[in-house]
Amino acid sequence: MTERPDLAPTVLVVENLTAGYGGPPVINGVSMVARLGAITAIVGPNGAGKSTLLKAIAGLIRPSAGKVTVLGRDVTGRAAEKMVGMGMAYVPQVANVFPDLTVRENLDMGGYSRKGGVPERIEQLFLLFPDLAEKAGRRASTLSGGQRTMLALARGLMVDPAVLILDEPSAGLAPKFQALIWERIEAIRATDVAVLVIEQNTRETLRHAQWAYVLVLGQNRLEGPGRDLLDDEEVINLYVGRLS
Amino acid sequence: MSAYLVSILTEGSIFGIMALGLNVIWGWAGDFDLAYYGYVAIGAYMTLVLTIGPPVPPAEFILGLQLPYPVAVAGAVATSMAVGLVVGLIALRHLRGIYFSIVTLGAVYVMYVMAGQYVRLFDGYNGLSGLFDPMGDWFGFDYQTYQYFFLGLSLVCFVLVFLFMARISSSRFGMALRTLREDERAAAAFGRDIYRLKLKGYVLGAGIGGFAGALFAAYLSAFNPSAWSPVEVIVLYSAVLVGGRGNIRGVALGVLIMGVLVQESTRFLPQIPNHPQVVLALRGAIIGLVLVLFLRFRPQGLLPERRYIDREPAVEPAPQAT
Amino acid sequence: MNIPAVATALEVRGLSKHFGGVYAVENCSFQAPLGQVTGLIGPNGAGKSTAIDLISGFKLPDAGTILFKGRELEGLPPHRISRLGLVRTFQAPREWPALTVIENVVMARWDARRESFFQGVFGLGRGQRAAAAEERTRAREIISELGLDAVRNERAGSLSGGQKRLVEFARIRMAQPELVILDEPMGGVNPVMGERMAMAIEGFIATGTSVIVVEHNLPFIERVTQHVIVMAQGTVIAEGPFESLRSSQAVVDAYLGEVVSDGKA
Repeated sequence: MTERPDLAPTVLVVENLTAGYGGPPVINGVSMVARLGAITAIVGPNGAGKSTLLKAIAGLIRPSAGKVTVLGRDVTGRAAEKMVGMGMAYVPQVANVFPDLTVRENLDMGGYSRKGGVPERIEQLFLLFPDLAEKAGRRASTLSGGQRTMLALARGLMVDPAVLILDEPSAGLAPKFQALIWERIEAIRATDVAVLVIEQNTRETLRHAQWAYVLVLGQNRLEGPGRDLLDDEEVINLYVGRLS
Repeated sequence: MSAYLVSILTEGSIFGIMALGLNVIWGWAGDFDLAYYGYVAIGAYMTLVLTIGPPVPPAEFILGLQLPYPVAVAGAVATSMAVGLVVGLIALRHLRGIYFSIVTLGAVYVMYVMAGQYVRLFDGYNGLSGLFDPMGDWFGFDYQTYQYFFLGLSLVCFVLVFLFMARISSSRFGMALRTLREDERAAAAFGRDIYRLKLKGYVLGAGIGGFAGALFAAYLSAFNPSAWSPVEVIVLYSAVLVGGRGNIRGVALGVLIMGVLVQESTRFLPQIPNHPQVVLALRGAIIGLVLVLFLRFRPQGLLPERRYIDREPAVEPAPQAT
Repeated sequence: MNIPAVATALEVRGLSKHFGGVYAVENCSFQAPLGQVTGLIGPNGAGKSTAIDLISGFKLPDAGTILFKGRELEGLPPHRISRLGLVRTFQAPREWPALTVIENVVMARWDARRESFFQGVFGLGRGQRAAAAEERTRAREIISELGLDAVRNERAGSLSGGQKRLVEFARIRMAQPELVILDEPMGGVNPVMGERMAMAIEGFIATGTSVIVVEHNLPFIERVTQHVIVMAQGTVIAEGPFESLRSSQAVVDAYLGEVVSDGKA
């Protein structure tokens, strides 16, 4: 891994992570780093193992080899519910809000493991997500797809995480809402949270990522600043199968 | 042979038939049907109302046609199949798993309540009685001999149903049923009409249950809601589970084991003075424990479903034309 | 887009399906040529799986026509479509686990008469028994051809992922449909099996079965297909031989995504 001393301190370090679902590993020896106040993206063609990587980092599946550290502490293989206390929040792609609870109740639930200051944190997040503030008393099931995603993001932020992990936040959203979500993600980044994101829309993701890792067939293939990779021929070839 | 042994074997044969019918629905088609005992009950009730004479007030019930026993049995089986068809049409259309089971539970409860409360049907809680020694008068048996006759009849019926099931099991129809249990979508993708096939299996099972009920009515010479108790039902389902769902020999073994367990498990325990219910309750506890242990450690039962091994020699692949 | 002078195995016109407000498939039209392997590719969420479910009768289309062998398939239940000669596989292998491999293969053919309850009770007549024996022999041949002979009497559920796929292929060879749609056959399969699977697919064509294969594994698509259809956002965005699609800007855009924000980061 190249040294980039001019960039912000690392929050999440993943070293040689290997994981699967029983059977042959889906990701094999993947390494990456997420930094404070930066958006780090994992991109790659289908079947590359991006989602598996996130789940292995977040404790939803147990890695068979490798190490994950958050703020210097080893969290490898810890159960997902313990990760929250370690400074890591994971926002899944689906089923990420409680539909029958109101917006405020959802956020309340998100702050369940906080030692205090839940109402204050909720107010802070309402400043970051004014659309949610408007619908504070409405049930989550009445929100639009984009608003629901924002609620999921906000809920993840309730625990003041050092690193926020987003699993395809703009999946299934119309382009207008996708743009909105990316706006919010930028705003989150500005509050000095390390954001780790995987997305289906590679181009949009690379525009926002300070650093991106290209995963192919479960292994590191390329990395670099997002904008640089946007124009990289090799990335295009990987996606449309010219190289294997 | 002691009278006790005769009655045990007779009852065992009848339960064996019941278990084989349940195996069609639960073992082969894979649906946990809670309405099954209802078909047994319908078979019993219908046999009675077709064989005994018209009701003498204050007793009330339908029919009372005094038909010969074999005719009544046919009528009973037909009725069970008809009711099974109605329940199946509703429950099997879209529901599977626990939702299917709940709907069948609802159906059997309706049957139970109607039989027990709707007096005009089967005389409510009093139930029906009076089916004494059917076909005994044809041969002029005395009481003793009749017991042996009925034992023989029950055993023969059990063997016939067993052979019938063996035939179905190895037939393409039986295999088709099992593909539904194994993977419905794949079965549909290969041409099986899921709904229709499941219905056929369900009605077949209900019919066998009705047949067992017809024999049961003759054995008890009566039937009423007290013969329809949870214990009987649980013992039946346990027999299928313990013996091995999907394997007819297993099911037969299960009936043997559960039957023995029920009758003998507490035989040698001393009666506790002033607390005669304890031994009875203990028996229930033992049955429950056996059930839980099997569900946890051996859910496939003692004799799991057999594979049909193809023993023909391997075939050389034909030269491929690419 | 017309494919000149080749008969079609399947034609789809204006197919649409929405769930809630979202269009999973929208005005999707394509033709799969007869006697060829046609690929169906596209990014996640493009609507490929929904399109297959619609074609094979597992979901009901909101609009559109599906033409197969001169018949319209919309509204027909899956078993009817299968009986007409269109068979499909699923993203996960769907063998019948408790049945042995050879039982899986033998049961691939639906036989109305031999499967009836009546035959179940009374057994098969002499003519039908001969047909059944012939069927078994055919099953053994196919199993041998696909290299599954060693596991012929094993329960299909105990096999590896790749072997289960081969059992599915054996079933297809047995059923001999006019068209088979393979839904991500390489999913969860060790890449070393790729060549075996490719050969099995060529075997389908050789025995008169046209193939549509949905896959993310693009090298595999390149290996087996003669014609490729690209879907994105629920509709067809490009068609042609694989080589030509790689240089298509529309295809690259579909896979890499389009820029939605105004670029100030």
